[in-house]
Amino acid sequence: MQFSLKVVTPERIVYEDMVDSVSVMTEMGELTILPHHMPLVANLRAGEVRLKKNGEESYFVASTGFLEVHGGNQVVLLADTAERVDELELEKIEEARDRAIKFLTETRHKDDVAFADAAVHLERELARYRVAIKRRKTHK
Amino acid sequence: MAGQTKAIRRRIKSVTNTRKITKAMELVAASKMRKAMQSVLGTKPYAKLAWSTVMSISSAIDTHMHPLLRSHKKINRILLLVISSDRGLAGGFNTNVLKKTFEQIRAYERRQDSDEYVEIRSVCVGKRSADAMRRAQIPMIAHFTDITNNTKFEEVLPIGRLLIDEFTNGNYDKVLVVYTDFVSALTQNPTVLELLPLGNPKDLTHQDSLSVVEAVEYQFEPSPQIVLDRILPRLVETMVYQAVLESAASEHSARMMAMRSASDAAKDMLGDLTFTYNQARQAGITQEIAEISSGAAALET
Repeated sequence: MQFSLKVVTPERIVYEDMVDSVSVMTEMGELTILPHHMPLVANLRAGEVRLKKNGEESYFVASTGFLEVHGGNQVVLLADTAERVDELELEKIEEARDRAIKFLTETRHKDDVAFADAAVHLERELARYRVAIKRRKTHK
Repeated sequence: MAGQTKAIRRRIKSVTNTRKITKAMELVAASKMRKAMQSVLGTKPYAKLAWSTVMSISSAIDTHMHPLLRSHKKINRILLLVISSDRGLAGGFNTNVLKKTFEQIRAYERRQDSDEYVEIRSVCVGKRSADAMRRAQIPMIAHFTDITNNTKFEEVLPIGRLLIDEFTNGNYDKVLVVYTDFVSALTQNPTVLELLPLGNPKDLTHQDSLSVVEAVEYQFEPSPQIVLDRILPRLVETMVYQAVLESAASEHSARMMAMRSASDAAKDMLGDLTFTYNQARQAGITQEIAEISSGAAALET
């Protein structure tokens, strides 16, 4: 038994297929959706998205967004950004993370809005970094 | 004679060069249009799905409690987001958007009664609209440039946030977007969209037949209110993003068409000029021969 999963960002459709299960990070903690899940809407946190199709797992990184489970075995992930793990490049992520940290320390004493933005940005880069590190080890 | 053919030759050369330039611009615009079209198609599902999520939430709680959904009774202050291009040479693209904008402004000013006032301010995307607003002396509260080419979602976030903040702070009663809807490479429609308050789902996704949301009991994590607080701004930002992308695709296709007709015109002109040049050259030769033979005839006698 499978259900249809769509991972959508404002820029493109990242993934669209039938899957067996999907695990995401929500604001309330990690959540795994199996077929026939009840209708649900949840806020996503930046983190790993793990999906299983015919016993094979594949990994994505998503940043903040929404998870919507429709009644008819349809699951939609609306994320601000999402990438497949193969698309991640560790060096670039490290750079981006360092930039984000620098930006965060710069804005700390200036204004709250910029600081909040920087914090969100850093969280996203950290999530990318964590997943990239984790998956690189398991694949090699 | 020689002077005339030289002048024509110079014109032919300059027209040939101009044609090369317009041809190159046409090709560049065509490839940019293709890219822009892809991103337009890419954003549509997000906006559609986000809206259907809002719809399903609205069955659970009273969505009209949210400031972004609440419509104001009196429409006195209006914020216009005008999306144009940074560069010209795009046929009627900018003219059409601006015409639509001023039509809209005039319509609101005409509605103004004796006891009511209408205040219109603008936010401009692209240099062209900013210039026009300055000329028309419509106050501009913000101005964004250099984002219409290969736009990223993060780049339009500040625009969306600005509009949301101004609206929720009660500075404006209505936020309108004037952009160019990309129908096809040949047709683009300047369109006015009521962005805030969020209301009519029909305008949002360009889809007349939104699938009817079945009355299912949704579970919300953490709570419907929090989900709504997050998803509505996102939806507004996506709509702004989409408007920018549609405009970009329209800009490039308008430029492509303008450049194509310029290249065609140059080609016609070259044909005419070459014809005139050959005629002038032939006339010169004929005249020279006539001179020589008449000179020879004069010697014989």
